[in-house]
Amino acid sequence: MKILVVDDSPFMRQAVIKALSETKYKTAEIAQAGEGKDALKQFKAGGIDWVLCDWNMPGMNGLDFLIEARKIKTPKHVPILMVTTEGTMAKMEQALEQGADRYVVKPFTAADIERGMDLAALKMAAKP
Amino acid sequence: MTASKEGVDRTTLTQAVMGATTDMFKMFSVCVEGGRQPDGNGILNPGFCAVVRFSRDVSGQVAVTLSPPIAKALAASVYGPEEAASDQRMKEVVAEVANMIAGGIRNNLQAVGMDFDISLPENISPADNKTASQNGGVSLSFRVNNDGCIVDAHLAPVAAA
Repeated sequence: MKILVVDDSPFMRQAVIKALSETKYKTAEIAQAGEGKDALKQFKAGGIDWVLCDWNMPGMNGLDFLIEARKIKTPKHVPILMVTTEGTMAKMEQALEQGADRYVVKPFTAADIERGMDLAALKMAAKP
Repeated sequence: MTASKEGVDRTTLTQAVMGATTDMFKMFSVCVEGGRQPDGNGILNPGFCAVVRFSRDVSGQVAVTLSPPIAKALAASVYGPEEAASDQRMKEVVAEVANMIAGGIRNNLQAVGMDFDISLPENISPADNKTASQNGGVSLSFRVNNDGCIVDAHLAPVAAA
């Protein structure tokens, strides 16, 4: 399993990676991107199983990445979790409408990340 | 708590800042107490400061000042104690702390009817932070791992055109 962590802050990328290391997903391979365009390039190249993506980033932001990523045909659905300070209901609805699978608001705990991924996995499993 | 497009009262803003700040520090497994009005001494060594600006329905900003020991403790909680605490690393820490506190303030105030956008965080010199002296703002001091952190926030409604 390969997880792409997208955040312009190296500190926050490391915080997400540390949180992942405390979950059942701790054995996953981790890839990183500091902005949306690089994330999209890695997403297009394939081999990504999950994306955990910030929203507010310079250059291509997380929402634009999400919109572009959902235009790309992948062999299987790749869940995208938004991990962001954008915690308002309107923003959550906007991200979910554009194809995000779950939403985790910063600050977060390892349990929040694991719960978000578990719920996204359940949603995928429930799809016909 | 009261807030509207006409503005936000001081108590509401104080509660929003306190809630956002304590929630943020919980993420890093550090001991935090606060917040209260700074006692005048401020932070003995205000090493790092970052600001996030508010826009759209309001103007204003939140500025977070961390002493080097706090910035180092937060970095160590993520990178591990062996990680060298370079100035660049400390700047990344305070920027992200300011980002999360700003997001928390916005989320708390949206619950009472205010909505606004937040900018990306920007590192500034602590000496350049004048927020606390501005009208209508709040300045709260927190003790984190027995060291000092100050959060200054102010916002004002944008006058209708």
